Amino acid sequence: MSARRQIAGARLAALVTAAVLATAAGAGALWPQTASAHALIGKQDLPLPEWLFIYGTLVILVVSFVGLLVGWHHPRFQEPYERPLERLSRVLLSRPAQILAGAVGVGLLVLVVYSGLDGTTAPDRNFSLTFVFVTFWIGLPFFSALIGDVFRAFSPWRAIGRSVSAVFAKVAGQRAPAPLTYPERFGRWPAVIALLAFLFLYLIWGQSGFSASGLTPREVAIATLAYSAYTFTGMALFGVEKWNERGEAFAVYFGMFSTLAPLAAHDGRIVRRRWLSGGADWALPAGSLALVLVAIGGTTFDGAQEGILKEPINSLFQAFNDAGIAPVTSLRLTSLIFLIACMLVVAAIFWAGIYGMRIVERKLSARELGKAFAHAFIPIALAYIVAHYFSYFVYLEQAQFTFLLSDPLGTGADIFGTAGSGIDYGVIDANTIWYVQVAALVVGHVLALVLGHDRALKIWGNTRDASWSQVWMLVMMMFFSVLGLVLLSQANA
Amino acid sequence: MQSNAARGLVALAGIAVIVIAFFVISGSDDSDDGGSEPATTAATTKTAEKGGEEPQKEQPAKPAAETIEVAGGQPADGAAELTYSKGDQVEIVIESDADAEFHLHGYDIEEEAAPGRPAKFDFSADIEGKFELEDHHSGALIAELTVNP
Repeated sequence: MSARRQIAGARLAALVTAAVLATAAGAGALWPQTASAHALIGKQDLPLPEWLFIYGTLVILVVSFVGLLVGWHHPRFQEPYERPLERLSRVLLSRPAQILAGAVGVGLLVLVVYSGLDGTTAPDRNFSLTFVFVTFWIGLPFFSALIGDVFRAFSPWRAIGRSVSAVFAKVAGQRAPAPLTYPERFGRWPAVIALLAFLFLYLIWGQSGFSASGLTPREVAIATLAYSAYTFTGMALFGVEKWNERGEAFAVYFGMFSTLAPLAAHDGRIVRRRWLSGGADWALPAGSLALVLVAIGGTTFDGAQEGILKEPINSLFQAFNDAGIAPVTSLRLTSLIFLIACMLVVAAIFWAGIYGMRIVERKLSARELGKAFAHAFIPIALAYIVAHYFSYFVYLEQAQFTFLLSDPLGTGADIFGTAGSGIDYGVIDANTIWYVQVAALVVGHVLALVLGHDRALKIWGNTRDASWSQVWMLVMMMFFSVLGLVLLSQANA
Repeated sequence: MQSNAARGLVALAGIAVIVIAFFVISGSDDSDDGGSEPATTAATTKTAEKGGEEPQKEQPAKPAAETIEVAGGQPADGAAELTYSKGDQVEIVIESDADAEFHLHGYDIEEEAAPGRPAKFDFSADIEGKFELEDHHSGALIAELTVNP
């Protein structure tokens, strides 16, 4: 077979698979499922008490002021200073380990789809919903930031992509030929767009408001199939690793948080690097800044819709409803408008800060400044996630490892013997939750300051201009951190 | 900041401010456990408790029973907002003009009602947070319970 035919053959195979998956998704979508009225858990956090809000704001102010004064003089986090970990690499990056990790990822993907299509329609008793929106979506950013880009090992799409390439190479007798060149000017935008689609599914489509329109397990399964089809198409066209770095939403999203972590893997070795240093060049591809702002904006909307935006959302919803639009559609339309508004507000604040910096220092263009400081906001995005979803995560992980693990389809099975236990809401009380929320925002702010200061040093050296530009950056970060506190103190106000 | 000593001093001062402020700001708040909103229900009789689980708490209050009227699957006066303190003995009576099932989320308590036979919720508010009490079939929000620490 000629090389050209091989290219065509591989791509054709991948595209056919993608088409089959897409058809399966479409077919599944034709059979609607009614959602049960229950959200995943029946409890919402209490709003932050006023004194704690004031205290949190004070701490953020003090920490920022101290940071400005005691800031170091030479950049410390611009180089990763990597040291390879040979023994760990030999174990964790060995082929059996890679195959095992990939198999786990694929197994979980299959379980999500299977339980989504075949399991109970009650969202809180079906494995798929909690796994995707809690264990996966909330757990992985945190663990990626703490340990490293673990998702890369477990990503089912990457595992399947690599397996297909390997099988194809064996069958064809030679390595698969080079795919299309990825147009670098698109940068990470495909991932950003896919992430927005996920946020749409999670925050808009699956709005479980008073009209009981939660996300059904079947919708999750269909979305998973559709997304897999899309991902395999991308991988077929541009190569598995390239698509994973630019277009696969979750790999890119979790990878963003992993830039904070002390471990990384490349060139077949695990390296230990300086903590926080992974982000130094992370924001260079286009769309990276957008990714950070989308992460912050999405969590902002989720927090705001319970508190500061609750009345406006209600009013707009009523307006649409009175105009004759069906309640569920009205709610989705309203939520969509406010989600976009939140994203725009977050972006506006960021750019206002950047233009403020430009008043003082004209060495770099606004775009260059934006790219230069994007990575400093990753800790804030992570802090937002921890602050808003910490208790949710603690409660639902209990479910994940008890009845959802032993009875993933909600049929009454008990595979691991843990199906009898449930969620114990008493494990953390309101005070603990509040302290964790405030601590998360403060720590996130401190890390953001550190990264911002370090980057400012690299750009301007230790000059007077650097200090003034930093003040603007500081004000921006303080705004976001205090906004985080505001959202928490207004939840369900 | 030139010298390390000066830097150290500033950092220390910052830490001192943060620590002292914590005690000042949290202490200046006079309710029991960190600024929770005062219970809006009157604490009437105090029942003899089986033994206080939390040593610093007084005997749990028994707020007055709440009665909610539900007509046509919707609450007559709009969704009630009920506030309690942790440990309170909560009593909610729901009168419905039709057969209905009411579910309190979080506590996961379901009670049935029929015309002339109201649903009675009677439980100890052991879990802090905000909970929805809804009509199981219509999905309408009947009441929102807040349990403060």
